[in-house]
Amino acid sequence: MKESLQIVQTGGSSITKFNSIFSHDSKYLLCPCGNLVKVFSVATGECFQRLNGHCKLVTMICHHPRVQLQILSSSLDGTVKVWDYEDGILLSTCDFNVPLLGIFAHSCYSTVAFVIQQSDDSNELYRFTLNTIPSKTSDIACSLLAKNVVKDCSKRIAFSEKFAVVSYSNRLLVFINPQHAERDEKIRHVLKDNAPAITCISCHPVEECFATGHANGEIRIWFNISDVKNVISSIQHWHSLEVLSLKFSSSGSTVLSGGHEGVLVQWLEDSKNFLPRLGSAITNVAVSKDSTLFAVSLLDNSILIITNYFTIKQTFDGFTAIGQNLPCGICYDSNTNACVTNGKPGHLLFYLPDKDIQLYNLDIVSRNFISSVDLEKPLSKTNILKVGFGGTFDGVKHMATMEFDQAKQRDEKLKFWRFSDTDQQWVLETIVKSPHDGCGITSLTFSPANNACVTTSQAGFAKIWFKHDEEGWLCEMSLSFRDLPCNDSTFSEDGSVLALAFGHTVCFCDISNNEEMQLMLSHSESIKSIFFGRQSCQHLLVAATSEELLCWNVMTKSMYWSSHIHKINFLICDIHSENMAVFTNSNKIFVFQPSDKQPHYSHNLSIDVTAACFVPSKNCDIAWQAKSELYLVSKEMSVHKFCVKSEVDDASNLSRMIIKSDQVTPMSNYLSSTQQKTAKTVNSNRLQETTVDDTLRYILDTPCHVLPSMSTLCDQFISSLLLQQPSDQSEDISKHNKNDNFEETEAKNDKKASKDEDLLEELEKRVEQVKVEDFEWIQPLCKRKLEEFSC
Amino acid sequence: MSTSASRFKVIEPFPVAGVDPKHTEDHQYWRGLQFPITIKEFGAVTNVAFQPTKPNFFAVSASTRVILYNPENNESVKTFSRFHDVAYGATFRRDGRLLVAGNADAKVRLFDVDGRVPLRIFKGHTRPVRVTKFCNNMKEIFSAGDDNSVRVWDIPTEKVLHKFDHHQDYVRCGCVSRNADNIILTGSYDHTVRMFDTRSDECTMIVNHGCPVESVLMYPSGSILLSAGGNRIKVWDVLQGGRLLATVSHHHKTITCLRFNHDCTRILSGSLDRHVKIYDVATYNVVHNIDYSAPILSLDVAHEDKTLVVGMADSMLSIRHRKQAVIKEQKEDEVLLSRRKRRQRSHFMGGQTFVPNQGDVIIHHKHKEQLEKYDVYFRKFEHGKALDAALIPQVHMNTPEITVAVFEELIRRDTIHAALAGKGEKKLSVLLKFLIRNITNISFAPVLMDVAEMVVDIYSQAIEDVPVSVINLFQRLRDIIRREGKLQIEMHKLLGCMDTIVSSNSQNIKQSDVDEATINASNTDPVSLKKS
Repeated sequence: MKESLQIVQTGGSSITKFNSIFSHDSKYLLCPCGNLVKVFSVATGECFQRLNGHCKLVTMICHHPRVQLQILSSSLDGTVKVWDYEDGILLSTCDFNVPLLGIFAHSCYSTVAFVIQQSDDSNELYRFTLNTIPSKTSDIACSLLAKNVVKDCSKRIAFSEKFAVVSYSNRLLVFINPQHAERDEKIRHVLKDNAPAITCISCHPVEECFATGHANGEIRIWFNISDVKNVISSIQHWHSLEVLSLKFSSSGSTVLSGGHEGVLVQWLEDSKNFLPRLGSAITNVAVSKDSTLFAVSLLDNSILIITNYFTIKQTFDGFTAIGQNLPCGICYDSNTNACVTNGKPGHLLFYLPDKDIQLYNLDIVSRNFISSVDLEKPLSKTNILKVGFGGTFDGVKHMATMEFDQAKQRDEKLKFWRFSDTDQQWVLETIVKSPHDGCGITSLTFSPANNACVTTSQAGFAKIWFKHDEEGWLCEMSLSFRDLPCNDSTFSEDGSVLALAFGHTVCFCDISNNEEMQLMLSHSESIKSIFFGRQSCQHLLVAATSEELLCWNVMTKSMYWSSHIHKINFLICDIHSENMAVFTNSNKIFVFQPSDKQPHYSHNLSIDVTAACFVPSKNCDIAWQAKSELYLVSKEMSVHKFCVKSEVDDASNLSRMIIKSDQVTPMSNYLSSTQQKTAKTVNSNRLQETTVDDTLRYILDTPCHVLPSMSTLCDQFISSLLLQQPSDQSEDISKHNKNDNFEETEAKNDKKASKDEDLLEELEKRVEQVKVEDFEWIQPLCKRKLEEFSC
Repeated sequence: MSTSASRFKVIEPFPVAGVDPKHTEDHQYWRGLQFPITIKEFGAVTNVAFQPTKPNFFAVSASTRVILYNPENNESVKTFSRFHDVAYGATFRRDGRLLVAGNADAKVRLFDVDGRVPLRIFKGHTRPVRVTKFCNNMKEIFSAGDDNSVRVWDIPTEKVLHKFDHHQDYVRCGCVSRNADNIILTGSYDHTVRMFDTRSDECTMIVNHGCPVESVLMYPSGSILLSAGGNRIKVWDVLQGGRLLATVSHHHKTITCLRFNHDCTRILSGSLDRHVKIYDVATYNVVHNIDYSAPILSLDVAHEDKTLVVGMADSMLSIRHRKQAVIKEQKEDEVLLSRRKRRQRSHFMGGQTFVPNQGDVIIHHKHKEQLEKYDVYFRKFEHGKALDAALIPQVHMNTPEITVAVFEELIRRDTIHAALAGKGEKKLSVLLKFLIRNITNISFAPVLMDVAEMVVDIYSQAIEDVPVSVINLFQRLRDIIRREGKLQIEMHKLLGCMDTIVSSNSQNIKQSDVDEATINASNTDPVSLKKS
């Protein structure tokens, strides 16, 4: 069992790390995202296709020079793959056996493409012939064009109809007719010594001219480039910081540029247009072929589609941007069934891990994005440190967030939010300014029993906030214990007991009766986090120090078990089952139940886990994840989960299962109507499931004294569990099932045996298909039936 | 073309600590009283009483005269000046036609409201008469005073009908029951409130208030009575033989007068601590508070709470009238007008009457968001100007929380130094005055302390160039911070004292809990034994 589990990426990763491109018809946006290439529909904003095949990071994609609907992708796994992006089919693979940092192709030179190979300390630009048939390594004819290419190559190499430019920090190499050019046939332009470094480059689509962006914010347009001595350059300056991206429009009449200011600038011949406050630094700009749409990739892992009138048409949000360590961890919100974590700066991200969909970014801090004047000293940001969700009381659900500017040690705010059913959005209810005097909040927990919330701080105070109808949330109690820092707080499942971890001591109190703290448990080491067990382990309290995992029985006030684990990173608890999981700094995971010292499952992870969360789900095949699945977020902000090995292939074929949600056209209507016929047979299975649910619910909802006797009901009930599609067969099976229980009758049915075996198999398959939710209760029912029979 | 990707997030006012005063119905009701009109009298106003019938004059007893005022125009209608000494306790009869007043010359005088000369003079008291009231049957009056006696007089014959000598000290207050003809209630400086029944000539009930009683009141039903003395009001149940129902203590000085409002749903109390407090009779909680400039000796409320008259020790009389209900339509007109004014800002508002045809594509005109000046400067990254815009008088005087929020935003943007530096004399003095005024505000202090530190840092280097007026401001700022520091130390000491008191108190409670628990345990034990 343990060996068969494997960790699979289900989502996350940055969609803005590498350049994205528009499809030729501007209907799709293709962007490299981790090991995938995602195809987004510009009209609907949904991920329409996932091109899955690379086993390492996809570094760059470009259009196939000859075929309109195909793209080439390069990856760190050393391959170039050719894809049909509309159908999501991998067409061919070229293996270079060297990590590839980029790939370039241009429709003007149809037979060749260019790759950047990563060697030990320098990167090299190679040209290779692009064959129609899948080629092997030996067939690839590579010729070296340039050495020591800079690492961030995708922005610093540009190709146009007649020439290619490779830029270094202070010199430029121009290759005329790069499809034939040899390594020596280049023109070299060297910038003056005091000139700022080149950060990005873009070629004019038609003319012999290109533009470079510089570290000080200058943009230079270069003409007459074939002449070494008389090259002409004009300087434009608006950006105050480094230009991060630069692109000519496809007609060549305008230049788009963006930088750390988060302002998109369109350079016309004699004027400029601005689109300010995009929210983050602009890392990439892509222009569609007809120049009507621009795709602006932002540092906060979102892509904006902007029309040529400078209005925002569509937004693609990625998972949280890399570089945050998710200070508030991951919370599960039962309202939306989403995982909640830090999103864009100052925002909370609501994310559906099972579908890899970002629901929305909720603005918590409500501040404008300000780029710092000096990149060396970035402006400190107010971060969301903690988030917690309360239960639903009086039909209102609450959320609390804690924000703090850690660098400046100020701006500490505790905010309470209420979910408004009418507006379907979170409404700010109360702001508490510096609730813990900037002393470092350590936890934020809601009581499951009433509208109460506990915040704890390093300064040693645990404050309990209650909701009042008129005044909002007020602090009614402030608890401390010997000036020890309060590290964590947890409520028992019924909300009757609050446990607070003060240094190396755990104190309990009952907040509803306003009682003093009592019953202490203490340990030699400082306790980092505590959790009450759930369900059958309600009386157990699990605590984690940095080196040890402890479990106390609260009723007897005694240690239940303790276990030594090296360097515990964090502990999480599943609120829907008894499971808990502990992660170590060396990326080991132990899944256990408080009632048992031995973990169910342990694994050495290959990823650096920064946060993890149990998400309720009903269709997981792994035994310990029967009620909720464990999702992990790595340092690279990719989302992972555990999978049985056989499932891995299924997961990789996820792209097939995604419902196509493209724009509706008459043609697509016609196509879909023809497809529906074939799909009908599949759908009928689904229908079956729903009817089964209905009958189940009907039986469950009816009071037992109204129901007919068990003996009459049982037959119907079991048959309702089966699929009725081949109705005669299922009857057969149920008969057979009964027969199975009586050896005498079985003897009579000996002839049928072989047939029955087949049927059995089929039955098993079907039973798998039917949801295996809450059928445990049926067992006593069946037993009684059996007893009747045996009588 | 300057459409923006996201809305510019404007500066939010800095959250101010402390809960807003609750705007309850009572609050609004009593807020409806207008700014007081004050009239100077010749001496301390010891009593005010409204005429129960129209024209609802009120009688003010001050010095050697009783003056009738017309509440409509706040002017005196008539003055009864035939007193040889200080007049006390002028009250009207139920029909509003007769007025009785006590006097320091120990005589009680009865006047016709329309006349001038006393109709009757009741002689018999030996010391100043402080309380004079008509009895319920309209034919008798009762009076009480410093000779410790309570007398009931027959009006036609000027004779004493009853005399009660039960009180041991000055009698300073009294009232009659509204539904019984023969019940008289008096409060005295001997700490007791006595109820007399004229039928039996006896004191039927005594309650001990605990301090000199300054005022007594009886509910119209006669079942509950209130007494005020010292800084507390006590509520007594008459039907249960004077059981104490509640003690209310919200004043910190002696309460001098008690009154019901017009429908007896609220109690008003005036005190020497210069407050009038209004209580809900159901809960005896304070629902509203009105401040006055001097110790209050007397008060009364007109019919339908139209007018509140308060007499004070510094011989001032304060009259507050209820605002006339504003006609709503007028208000709406005003709102429309102001909106129209605002609209004049926008240049073009044509096509208002145009009705689109069917099938027309309607494109709504986007109203440009009006940003405040400081927001506009923030949007343009002109931080110095944004600070100046936040320090104009109408911003920093009316909404200091905005100015503080601007400071905070500057700190957040790391541009506060640049914004604060290089200010001229005028701007610097405005900034310093703002700091002086607001640095002690507990919600603003954390931000403003930082700002003050920075200002001192920046300008201390070139302190020679700073003009004298600004240096004075700096010194004032220093003094204020010093004082605040001392205050904080004192406050912390106080907090420490309170903590010890609270913790020892809670320990006591715990101890008593434990005692009770043991008693219970000992009680239950024999029972269980018996059962077994």
